[in-house]
Amino acid sequence: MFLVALGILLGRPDVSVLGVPMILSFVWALSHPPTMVPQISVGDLVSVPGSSTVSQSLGMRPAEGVDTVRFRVSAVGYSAVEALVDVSGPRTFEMSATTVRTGRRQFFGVDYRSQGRDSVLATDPETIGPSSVLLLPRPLWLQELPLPFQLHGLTGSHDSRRPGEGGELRDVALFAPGDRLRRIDWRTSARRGSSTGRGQQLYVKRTFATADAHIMLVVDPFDVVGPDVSTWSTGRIRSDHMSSLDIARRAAVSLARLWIDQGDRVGLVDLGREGRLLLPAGGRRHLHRLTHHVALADAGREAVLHNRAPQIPSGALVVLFSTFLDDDPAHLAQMWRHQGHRVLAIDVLPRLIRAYLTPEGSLAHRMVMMDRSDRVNLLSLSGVEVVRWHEGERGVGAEAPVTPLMTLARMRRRHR
Amino acid sequence: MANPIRSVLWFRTGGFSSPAAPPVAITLRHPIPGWVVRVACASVAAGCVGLLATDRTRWIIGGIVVMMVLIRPGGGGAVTLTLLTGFWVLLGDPFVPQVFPLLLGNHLVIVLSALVGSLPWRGHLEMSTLRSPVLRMLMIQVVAQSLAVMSWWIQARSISSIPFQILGAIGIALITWVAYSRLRETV
Repeated sequence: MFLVALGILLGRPDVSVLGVPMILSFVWALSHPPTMVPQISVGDLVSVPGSSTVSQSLGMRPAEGVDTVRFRVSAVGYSAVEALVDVSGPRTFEMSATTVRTGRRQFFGVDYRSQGRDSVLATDPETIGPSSVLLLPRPLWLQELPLPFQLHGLTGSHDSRRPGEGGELRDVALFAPGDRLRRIDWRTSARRGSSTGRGQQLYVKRTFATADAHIMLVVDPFDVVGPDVSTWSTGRIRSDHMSSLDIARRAAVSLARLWIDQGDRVGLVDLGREGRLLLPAGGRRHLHRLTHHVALADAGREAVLHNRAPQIPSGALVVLFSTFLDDDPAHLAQMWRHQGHRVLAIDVLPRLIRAYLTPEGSLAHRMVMMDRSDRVNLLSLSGVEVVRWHEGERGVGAEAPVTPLMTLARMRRRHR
Repeated sequence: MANPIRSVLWFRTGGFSSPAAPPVAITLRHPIPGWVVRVACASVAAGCVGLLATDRTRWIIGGIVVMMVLIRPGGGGAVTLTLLTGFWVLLGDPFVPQVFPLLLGNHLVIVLSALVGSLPWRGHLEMSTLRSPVLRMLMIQVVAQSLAVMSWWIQARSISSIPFQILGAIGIALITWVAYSRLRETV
């Protein structure tokens, strides 16, 4: 406008004409102002089971006078993406993100702003989302797992030391009242009868009874750390890095599945929330319930102080998943060991990335790790069996600690 | 002794900072990176400056305006460019032929900077978002270039410009009034 006015005043139409396009654009934009705001909606957050991708649709309906919509899609642990799109017709966009994280997570907060012709008029920014989704941990396939010192019941998949109806041979004894006829060992009866001259005596085969094991999984959701040590102070864990809690969840679900498949009874204690206890049980439905509980395990708003260790059923195997970066879980493990439980401590600290540490950070990290190492050594000395659960950095091609667990499983078999 | 590889990494990673988190994925139709449009916009702006820059001072001032357009397209760089080129035209001979390409170039810079103004370097815009602004620009250009030809004809014939000045002043007043009333309604 200034140029046009200046050109007119000085009688220079060549100057005036330079300002004409801007004025005409402005007038055009004002003559077709946006009459309403486009309707923007998001669909359901979809997490495909067995996949690490989460997706959600973003729908936009056109509005008169609105040419474009500028939006910004963000999610915790991801870089935000900004885009300018044409909304002359109905549009649907697919937002997706790949993650190795588990638990309750929020995805896709969308900030948007509608723009009129040539961006002369624009609405105030508005926000939609984010939506919440529960990402369940995916179990690994394991082969053999340790059992508690003491087995329970008269049925199950494990051989106990008690005589009873089972499969493994205990001894051969003289037939006594109460013995079943089908237990008579005719071959032994014939051989022993002929050698001792007591042919009328019958012998029976006696077997060990079977039993099941009670296992309590204890998840420590405090001190959640990622592999990148430089993020420990901020707690900003990347979406493509598994945190210690993600590893703990995965390990817990992997072990629970194998034990439940074997017919054992598995329970859960979430140290993050007081009263969150799942009593030992078996079956497929219980495994689903347990998987959900494990996925929801999280440090609550207020830290729970455990003056007394959570109650564990007698004779149960306690499996504690922790990073052992503080004393509390180690004390609990020692307490349970002193009560006579077999305690398995699964160390879920991820493989560490130290490349981005400052010299001060490196020093602090060394001190923390020395402290942790002392704590873990003390645990071993007090009879707690410590196993390191290694996961791949990105959760892909993860190696489960199959060998150490199998070794433990075979070592203790004679104690049952 | 400092590890040389680590020193190199220090620069590469921006000083002990972790690499950027992965971006959220979104499906767009024929996306163009925001930086491509910014560079295109700045190139057109540089072309406009080049049409009238006759000495080093003009190049320096023009360069600053081009950088404004490149760094913050929505921040008034395009308007400054139009004012600057208008001022340079005013200082020169009446109706130089550069006015015709300048009219197109300035308008293109305004349209592109309005489009990409608030979009970051790493943002994306769909190819179809360019269609409507470019069509509008072409229609306005028909009017603007016709006016330019008419002005050139008036100046070449040495016809008295007073009636046109009066007509222009009335036009400006009318446009101002229309724009003001529309703005009041819209706001």
